[in-house]
Amino acid sequence: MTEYRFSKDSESLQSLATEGSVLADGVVDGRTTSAFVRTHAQELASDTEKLASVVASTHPEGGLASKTKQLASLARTAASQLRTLADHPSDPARAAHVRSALANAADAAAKLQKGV
Amino acid sequence: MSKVFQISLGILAAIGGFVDIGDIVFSATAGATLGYQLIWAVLVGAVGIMIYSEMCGRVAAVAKRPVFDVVRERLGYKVGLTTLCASQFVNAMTCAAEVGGVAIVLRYLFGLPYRPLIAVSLLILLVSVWFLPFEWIERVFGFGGLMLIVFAVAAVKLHPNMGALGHGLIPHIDTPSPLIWFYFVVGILGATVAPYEVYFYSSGGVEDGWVPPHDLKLNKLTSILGYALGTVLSVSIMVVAAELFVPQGIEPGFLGTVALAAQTPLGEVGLILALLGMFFAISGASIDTALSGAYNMAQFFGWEWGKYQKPARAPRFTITWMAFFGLAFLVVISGVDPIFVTELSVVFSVVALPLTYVPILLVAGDKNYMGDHANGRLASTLGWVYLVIILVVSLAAVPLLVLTNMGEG
Repeated sequence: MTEYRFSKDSESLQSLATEGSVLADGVVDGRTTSAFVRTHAQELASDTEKLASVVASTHPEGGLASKTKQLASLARTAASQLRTLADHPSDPARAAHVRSALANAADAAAKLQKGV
Repeated sequence: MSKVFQISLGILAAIGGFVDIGDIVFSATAGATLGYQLIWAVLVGAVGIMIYSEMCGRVAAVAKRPVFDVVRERLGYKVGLTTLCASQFVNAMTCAAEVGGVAIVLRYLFGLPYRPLIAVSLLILLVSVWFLPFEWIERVFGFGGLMLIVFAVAAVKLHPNMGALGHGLIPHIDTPSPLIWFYFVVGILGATVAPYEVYFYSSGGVEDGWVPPHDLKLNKLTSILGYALGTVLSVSIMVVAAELFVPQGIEPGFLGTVALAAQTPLGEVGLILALLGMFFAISGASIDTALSGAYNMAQFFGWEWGKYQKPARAPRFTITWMAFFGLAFLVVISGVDPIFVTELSVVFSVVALPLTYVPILLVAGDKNYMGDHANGRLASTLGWVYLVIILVVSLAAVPLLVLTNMGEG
């Protein structure tokens, strides 16, 4: 894991988590369909799981070891939240929790990226 | 109303060709990555496809010769065959991407598993092409695709930064990665002037029985209005992506991300209209590519062709378009990501562009064929200018694909 790769993976996680948060927002406000939320949340979860697995399997350079572990953990958390959204695509209460958790994951990924 | 129906070929060619899965993906990604910087590229591509479509339609109406008829005669058998192979490869890749895209959109609409939906998509497309007359294919998929206008409404509702939008009309590089900028320019131009659009358009002109002089006006109107509409839709997708995704750092990797951009400002109705519009546009593009594949083969080898004929009267033509759908099905069912295939097909289609457009330009300007309807000075100059642009873009396409890791840096 190089600094460049770490930065790119952090960006990807921010993007996936933010998109998931926007998707959950639609459920909270009743402005979407459950078929769309289920399908798109599954796609986002699948990509986030792949990202988590790739990040966890890398050999970090220099001082990136701890940050890489944190990034992999954040990605796993985000993937789990996206799976929850996919499993409950019409539950506004759960979606509100998912929205907040994904927004936090995106913020945390942004902070990790800035710290490199 | 009949006038509106008459321009449906241009609308289908534009919606199915211009705003297909490749254009939707490239426009959204370019907007999310570079904001408004590449609006000029859509306009440059739009004028190019208007010029060449008009020429193809004129040649079809006056000389009754669609594109591959002209390609074989002007380039000779060997170069013509090379052009045919390149075009058919790109057609097959594009058709696969579009069939996969139809299944993805159905999945968003109904939430059913993806693989069975690939089979459902194939069935819908086969039944549509088999049973619908050519003009009804144009109408159903062309006008159905107009639901994508929801993106123009979404763009207006988002109150875009007009200064930045205006600045986007002037080519400028405002990114630390100029290669990415060039990659998206090539992608947008490639998606806009995809060769299968002119194969379909010129063969459609023959299918519709265009005759001069009346239909030459219709051809001009159709090519200008159809592609102008496509430009508005393409720019609208870029605008909503720039407004919604740039501030939040979202990189669109799915068709669903683009649909989400209509849902955010317009709610559930916006989402459903966007998905339905994508369904018709991408289905239309699947049909365009499969039929283009069959048109090209039939015209090159001199077979009977045409949707206006009963399948038994043009059996090789019929088998070929069915084979294109079958091949697309096999590619997508194997698990290849349609979005990945789309990006590759857009870039590789750019490489096939010059071989398609050179013979059209030569024949459209040839008074022996076209008589008084040959290219005038303006059409000829613009045609050559665009040919140079197409050549530059086609030479840059593959190196940029490799150097930018398909735009991902």
